[in-house]
Amino acid sequence: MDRNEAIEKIDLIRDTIEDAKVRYSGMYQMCFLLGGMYLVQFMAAVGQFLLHKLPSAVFFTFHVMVEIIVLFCYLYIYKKEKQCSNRYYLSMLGIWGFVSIVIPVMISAVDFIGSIFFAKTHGMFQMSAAQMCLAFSRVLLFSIFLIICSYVLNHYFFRILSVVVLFGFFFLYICFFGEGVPFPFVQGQEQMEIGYVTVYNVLVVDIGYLAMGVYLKHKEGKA
Amino acid sequence: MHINDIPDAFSATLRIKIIAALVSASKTFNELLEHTQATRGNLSVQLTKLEEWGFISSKKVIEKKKTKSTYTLTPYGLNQFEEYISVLQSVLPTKE
Repeated sequence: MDRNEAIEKIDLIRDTIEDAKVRYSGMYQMCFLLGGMYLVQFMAAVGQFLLHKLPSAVFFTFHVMVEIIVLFCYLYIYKKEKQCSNRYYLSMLGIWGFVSIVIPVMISAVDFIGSIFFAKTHGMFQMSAAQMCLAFSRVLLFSIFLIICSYVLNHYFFRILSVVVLFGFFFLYICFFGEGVPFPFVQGQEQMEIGYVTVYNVLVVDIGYLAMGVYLKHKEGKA
Repeated sequence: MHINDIPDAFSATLRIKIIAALVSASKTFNELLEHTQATRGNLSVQLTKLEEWGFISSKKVIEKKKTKSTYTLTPYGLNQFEEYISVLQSVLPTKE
């Protein structure tokens, strides 16, 4: 064996090991997807309030369109990650996607059918009840995601953070239920408030997912 | 391991790629296909050889009525691989 052959073999081994390293791509792509979807939906809700003349049907259609696009993106990511041998990782990705993407799409579909066949107020009531459950499920899911990250990345800090995130939500829910931050006054419209729980969801969960996405991407680059 | 006594497992590029791919974690047949860019037939033959020589072990799991094989580097395989790397390094010139 000569020197060049040895260098070639070492390069080959190095490249193969590098290529076969554990990937976080599915996780950070999901983070960007969820964080992006929640933020876009929140911005759309704010937009609907500011442009009061905009029919709620337009807002609702946009809301569902975003969910459907995200659902297809999720299915694409899952298909790509399906080759992975780690069944726990695949199960986690499956459950995570189902709870955070498939269920909201189903709720929107039920609400849409309800608004067609039942009185509008009935549909609105169903939606608000579903939104309450969704707000909690988002926080719960984000906490579970942080726990998974703590095990995958071997960082105890994320476990503490998950508990803080969950208790923060409970604290706001119990102590400040029905209260909120006054929305900037818009001429000719009644004064509105954004609930503390909604603000908490946007600041902690939505931005949290995006931050975790950036962190995991950075981690993968360094690995 | 001596430079004139390198095991057959390291005589083929594909076999080296398989072993290197299994260093970080166990892999399925499809994952190895992706990492090595080999044909199914060739990969299957080399995996069988490596398993016979005790470098890797395989485990079959039935998922959704389909058999999924997962391959793992054995402690013997890892040890031999480390020795092979040492041999390769010994060929390279040392920095002065």
